[in-house]
Amino acid sequence: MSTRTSSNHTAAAALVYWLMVMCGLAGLSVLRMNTPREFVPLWIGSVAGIGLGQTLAWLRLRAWLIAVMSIVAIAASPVVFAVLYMVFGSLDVGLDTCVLAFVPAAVCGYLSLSERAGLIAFWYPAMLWMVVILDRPSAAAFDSQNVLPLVAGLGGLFVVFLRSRETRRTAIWGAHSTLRLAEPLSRTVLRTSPLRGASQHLWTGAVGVGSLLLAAWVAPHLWQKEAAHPHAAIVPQPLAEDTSATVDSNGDQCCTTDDVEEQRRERVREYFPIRSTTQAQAQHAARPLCTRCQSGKHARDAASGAKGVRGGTASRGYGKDGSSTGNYWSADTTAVPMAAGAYAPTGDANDSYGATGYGNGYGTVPGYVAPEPPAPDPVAEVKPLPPVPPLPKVAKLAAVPSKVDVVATKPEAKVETEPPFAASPAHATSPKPTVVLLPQQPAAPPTGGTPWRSALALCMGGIALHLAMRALRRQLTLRHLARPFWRETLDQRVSNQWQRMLIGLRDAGIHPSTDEQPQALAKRVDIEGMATCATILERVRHGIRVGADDLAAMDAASTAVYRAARNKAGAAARAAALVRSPL
Amino acid sequence: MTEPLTRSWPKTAFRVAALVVPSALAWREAFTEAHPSDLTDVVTSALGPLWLMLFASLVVRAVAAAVRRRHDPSVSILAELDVLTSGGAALAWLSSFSIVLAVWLGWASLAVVGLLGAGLFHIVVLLSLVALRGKDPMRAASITRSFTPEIVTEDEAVIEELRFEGVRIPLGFRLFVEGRVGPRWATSRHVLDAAESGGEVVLESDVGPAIRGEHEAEPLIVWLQDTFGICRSRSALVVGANVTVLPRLRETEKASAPLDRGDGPRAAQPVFQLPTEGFFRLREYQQGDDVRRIHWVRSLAARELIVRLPDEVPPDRPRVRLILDTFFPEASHFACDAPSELLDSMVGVWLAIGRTLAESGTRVTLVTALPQGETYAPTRQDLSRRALGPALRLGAKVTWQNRILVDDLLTKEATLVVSRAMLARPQEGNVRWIAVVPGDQATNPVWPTQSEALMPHPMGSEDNRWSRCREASNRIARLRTEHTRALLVMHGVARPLPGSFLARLTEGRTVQLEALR
Repeated sequence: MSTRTSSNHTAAAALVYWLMVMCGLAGLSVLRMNTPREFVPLWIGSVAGIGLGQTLAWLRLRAWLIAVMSIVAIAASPVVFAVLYMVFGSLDVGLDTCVLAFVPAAVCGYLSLSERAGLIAFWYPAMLWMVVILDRPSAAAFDSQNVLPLVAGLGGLFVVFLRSRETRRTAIWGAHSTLRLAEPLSRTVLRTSPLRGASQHLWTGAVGVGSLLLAAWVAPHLWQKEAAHPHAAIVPQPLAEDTSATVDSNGDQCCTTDDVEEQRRERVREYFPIRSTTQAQAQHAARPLCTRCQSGKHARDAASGAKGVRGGTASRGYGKDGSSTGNYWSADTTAVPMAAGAYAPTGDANDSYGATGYGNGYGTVPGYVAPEPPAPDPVAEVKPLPPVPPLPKVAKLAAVPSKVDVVATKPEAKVETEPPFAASPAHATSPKPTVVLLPQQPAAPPTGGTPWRSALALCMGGIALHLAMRALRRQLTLRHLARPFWRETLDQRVSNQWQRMLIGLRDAGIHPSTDEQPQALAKRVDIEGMATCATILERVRHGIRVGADDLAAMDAASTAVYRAARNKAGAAARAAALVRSPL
Repeated sequence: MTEPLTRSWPKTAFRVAALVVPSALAWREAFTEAHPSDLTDVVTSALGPLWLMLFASLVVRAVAAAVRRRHDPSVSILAELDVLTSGGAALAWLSSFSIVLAVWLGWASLAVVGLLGAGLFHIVVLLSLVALRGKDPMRAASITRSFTPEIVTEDEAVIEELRFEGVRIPLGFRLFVEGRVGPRWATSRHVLDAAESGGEVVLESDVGPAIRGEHEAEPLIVWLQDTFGICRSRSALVVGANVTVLPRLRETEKASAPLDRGDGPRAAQPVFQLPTEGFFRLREYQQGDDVRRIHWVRSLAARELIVRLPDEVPPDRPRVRLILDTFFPEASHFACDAPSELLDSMVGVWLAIGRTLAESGTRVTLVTALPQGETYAPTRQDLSRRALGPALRLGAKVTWQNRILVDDLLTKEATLVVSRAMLARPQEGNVRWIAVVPGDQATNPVWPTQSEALMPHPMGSEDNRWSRCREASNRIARLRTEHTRALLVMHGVARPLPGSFLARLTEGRTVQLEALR
């Protein structure tokens, strides 16, 4: 068995993996900056899980041993939970989010260093990125304008991750084996194409782009939408004291449309639930303020106390603290104002996959008083609509998430084209419509405010600056080697001219080997003028006096060789040589 | 580059199936479960051309292999289609599994992961089928292999130099090189990137310590593999180079022991002469002396009977034949290194004793059986203390053989036989045995142990696979068994014969002789 110290190539895969995860977590944090309760457990679970997984992989533990250890850990988990309960006084500290993140992160972290399970390992960071991509303020199913940098980044990191894994595998292949391995000594590149390295990267990029296009083309057709909790409707809730004002002169009530709401409650299914779109807020602001209530759902929603002025919902607590006297199918049940006055300070409890899961919202807090709901603007009196003939009832969304093809449903188009009033379903048991006053919604947050474009521009600018600095450094170095900026000895100037000539040779992909003497190099390369340079340089090296005429000859010969080599390289290679490092 | 290596056919068939089967299963499931209308259109538009091109490439490759097979029956169609690595097959299956899971669970990330994997897989496979076409993907590259120095002494470093000139490495691929000199040598592994395609690259590695012998290095195995580890070309062989490793000369402790005991080569030998011959030693007549030996002139002068004694050759420059017994027909049946290591020790002892005898003034003739063409023949070489080169070359050529018994090498001259064991028969004439016994390191070697809970190599290594670990464990177990058996066969018949010697190599790499009484 042979074991040698692996090269640094082996660390790249782990680092790229961490980069993917960190970027995903950072994106989530930016998107949910206002709800640290959501992303802090996610950070903890992800970092701890991946750290543990990669540590176990680094320790070379076999999977069966880890499985046994996991079973033991599960058996001991009640004790851990008890300790946590004693420490925190409650388990409502985001523990389940932490566990939900920790387990797959540990598995994927372990597999990230495996030989053949890289795709499984890629799932966890991809899942984080997908949440970031889909969970956006202006989230349509696939908003190419805003998510393009993220999608490109995900595809690029996927390719880089796979390639770094293969590079790591190659390095391990060369350093570890059951057989006794020879010790590599030196690697001398005598001649190579100066552009092949770049073309290799271009090929990798092209493969990545192709894969990304395929994925972007086909994958959305495999996405499935699930309904948010049916009672987690994003319905503006009238304040209790305003309820009386919602009845117009005709005694009708004004409500939102059930169908439109249920369309808005759909979201792309993911391991971690994606936030119901806050786009609904903008749509709320744009849509008609009220419609005639004809469905029992409004009454149910009102009774549940799950409505918030910012679209907040409380799926678990719905109807719990409010007097849920309303029957789902009885349309005329009036909402009890107690819960109706609740207010969601965070604006969206529906997406809280935190400790209490959905519905850890305001509806569960008895007697919670809204801190400062935005005062509803005076609303002009709404004229009640005349009764409309009953329409076919829209199928109620089931509590269990259902598979809905994203493209097939086209929710946005439906929302836009559907007349809000016409979609109002009639309820057979509704003897008299109820008008509910809708408060004026705050303006929707500006879309496209995410920092991705700025960050991308900053990165590109940094890269451009870096390349520009390389080119500048090269020009300065060449200038100094040709005509030194400060006074130097004759011998040093001869050596400088030789180095300048070598730079030109490297531009053409010609490299001197280790311990290759100047004359041998000149003979191998066979460019006119190199022999002169080599002769003068060897005279300097052997301490034979050189004069100004020798320097002039060296200058002329090295310049000729430099130009000949660069001409031989070609225009593209010359351009690439501008930013080559080291010189 | 000559014949490619073959891979086991069940695995080959599995990998070939992985080119098409996972995708077919995954999309069948997707079309069944999901809304078929839109998905079918999109998949047909996006992946359909890829599938068509992949299928067409496979058909073309299979047809080309079938055509070549008419002229060369060794060409295998299945092997021609085998372009996937195990990692590539895993990617195919995992991406398809992700798509199926995306259909079942509906998670968007699974769909993205599956499509990214499937897209990358299909693109790389297609490009590989194009880039790795033909019998010689390297396109007649010049790969030169040499060893520095070409003649080296045992246990010293040997530098293997590989020079690649004009090697064609397609874009997106790497060139993998693996090779070794022989079974007991270190394996050298190198990787060349496509950036070095068409250039001139020199790779060096230390494959030492050198193992005694005249070696024709095993061919280098060369293949191409893409930068994602999905596809690989067929392996090609690059002919090897030669390296000669001379045995190391060792010192002998108690060097004169073989010559100091009994009537060995240092004892004087009487010369057969007629009774009337001999002039140097005289003495008075004693009763029983041959009357023909009476020196009458001296007797008259001395007035008593004086007789002449026969002359003797003084032992000023004794001669000895030093035979190395290499007859061991069972050696080729052992997979372990014990027979080879023992032969190296025997050669070391043989040369060490020969040099010691030569330095003490004895004329030493080295005798052994060496390969000559297809057979073996006895070979003699006088050992000169000032020119050891020929003797060392002789030592480098020694191998186990099954043709010439040690009896065929014996003569009436004084002889020392260096052997793996003393033959169970009485001493004959001037023959003395020197049996080489294994040292502690050879008797109790340290075998690598494999933990069931820990992987032997860093995670990600191919050698961590269960099949390979099992294979390695079986190999070690077999080697242990054979090592024990080889020790019994090689040394089990040894019986201490009075007047013989035991020789062993010490840790200081000297030869220690022990006389048996």
